[in-house]
Amino acid sequence: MSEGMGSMNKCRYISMLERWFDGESVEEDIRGHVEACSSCAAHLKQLQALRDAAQGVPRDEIASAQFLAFMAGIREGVTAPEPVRRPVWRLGWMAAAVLVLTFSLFWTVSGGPDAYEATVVESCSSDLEGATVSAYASDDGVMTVAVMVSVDEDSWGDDR
Amino acid sequence: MKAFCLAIVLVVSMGARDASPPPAVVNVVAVHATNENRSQRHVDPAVEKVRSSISDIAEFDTFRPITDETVSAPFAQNTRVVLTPKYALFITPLGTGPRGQVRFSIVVQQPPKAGQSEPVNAISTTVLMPPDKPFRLRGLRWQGGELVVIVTLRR
Repeated sequence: MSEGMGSMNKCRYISMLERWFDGESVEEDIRGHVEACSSCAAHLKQLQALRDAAQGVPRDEIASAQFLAFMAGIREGVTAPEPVRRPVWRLGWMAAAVLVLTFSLFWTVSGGPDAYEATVVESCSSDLEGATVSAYASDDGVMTVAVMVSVDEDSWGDDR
Repeated sequence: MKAFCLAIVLVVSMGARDASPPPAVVNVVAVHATNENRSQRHVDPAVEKVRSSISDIAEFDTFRPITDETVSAPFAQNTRVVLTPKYALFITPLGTGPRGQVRFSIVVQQPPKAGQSEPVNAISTTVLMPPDKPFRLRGLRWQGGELVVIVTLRR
């Protein structure tokens, strides 16, 4: 009486048969079982046919020169230093620092915004007799040149 | 070859001519400041745009417009703005600053007094003026009050 299950590939010896076919040592007498179990015999036949077909496929062998180059490439990839990668945020900080430095230099050289936004009085004078001239900035920052004249100087008849 | 050199000289000279700065556009506002013993300060709506330039003038309570003129002043040329029958303003752009400023010679002149032939410079000043920043002349007596002149370089 067969110890198999009686149907194709359902025998409990199938996995043991495959290990035996691959060369592993098994505890049962597989060869004797195969002779008694048609299911395992058919499976063994399929395995053998598959092996024969695989062995018929031509193999591409790596020539020793190619192999050396191949290994050299792997070795180079393993031992080469990793490229330095600066994170994006670090570049952003560097750009911000450069901007701040540039602006500070500009500010220092130009003397700040007030240095050029304010009107600069370079000279002022008056030919009126007894007049004094002064330059000042009002509280609102309006640069002013003012002339102070004596009453006697205001002698044009048409202005009063 | 001579024609080529001549062409280069012409192009360079035309470029140099075009490089001269365009006329400066200047707004001149003259305000008559008087004291009329008002309980409240009165600023005529016509001088509203220069209100901030006269807000600190405390010795007068009334401000009326006299002149509001925008002129195009070519460089190195006198441009005259008549303020009143007594005063005329002469503005002369002399050069430019590094950030859009213009150096002006500004002279407020009075006509010659009786018996004299030369006009009198009531105020003569040289200023380096940035755009859109009012510059003010004060102390010019006019009809019981004062003539306040606000000069602004336009962009």
